[in-house]
Amino acid sequence: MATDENSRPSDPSMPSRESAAQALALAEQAQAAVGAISPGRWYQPTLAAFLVGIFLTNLLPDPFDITAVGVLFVGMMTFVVLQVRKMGVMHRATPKTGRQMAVGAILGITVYVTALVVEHQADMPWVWVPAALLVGGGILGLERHSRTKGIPA
Amino acid sequence: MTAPEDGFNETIHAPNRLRICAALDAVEEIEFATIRETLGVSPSVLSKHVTVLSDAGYVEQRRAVRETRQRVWLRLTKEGRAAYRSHLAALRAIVSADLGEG
Repeated sequence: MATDENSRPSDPSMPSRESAAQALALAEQAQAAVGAISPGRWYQPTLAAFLVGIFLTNLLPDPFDITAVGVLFVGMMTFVVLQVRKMGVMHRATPKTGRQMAVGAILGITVYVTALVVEHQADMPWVWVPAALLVGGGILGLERHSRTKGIPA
Repeated sequence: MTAPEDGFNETIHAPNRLRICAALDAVEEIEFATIRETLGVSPSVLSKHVTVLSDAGYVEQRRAVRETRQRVWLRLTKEGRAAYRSHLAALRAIVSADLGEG
């Protein structure tokens, strides 16, 4: 029996180095192929448009604003679910995507609260327009950043 | 040091099953038709290998209806993910052990 740590595996059913390397390459190719499945170029812009719409509903008078928020929120959620079904894959939330989602959520909440305070304190309802554009642009910026650093094919 | 034999898995090592496990490891859940198109295998071949992996407890299937047709979604079980990753570690150990030899 071999005692050298660097020796070839003694079990004849174990693959050779070349075979193991080929198997690793196959696995990497399959992972890259699946990882490259993306929802299409209109997914993020549509999502950004829904968010912009949700922000802009604050310009509507009561009670249309809350109604519009509800309609847009339900529409956005429906759109996301339909896209996942159409794409046929639900990607795993990696630490990187988790960080991006956290950054997006913090950005959205911060801008929303700031705009709310500015509107009430300074009576500047138009502040919702730059706030909406900032959030929509932020979503698109994050998307472009993730596509640029995407998984190699 | 862990021997390569420890994590090596005969069930997963077959090329198509290895590719299926690799694809499933990259996602939370994937539709049967999507993985079939991505890997470029026939439905019967994919079905056969998925059955082997399901019988081993590595893959679970969920049925859902979309556009009046029943779709099957596949995902790795916790055991399946652990077995796949151990298998990958074993393959890497074989490659690096032989590199050390040379």
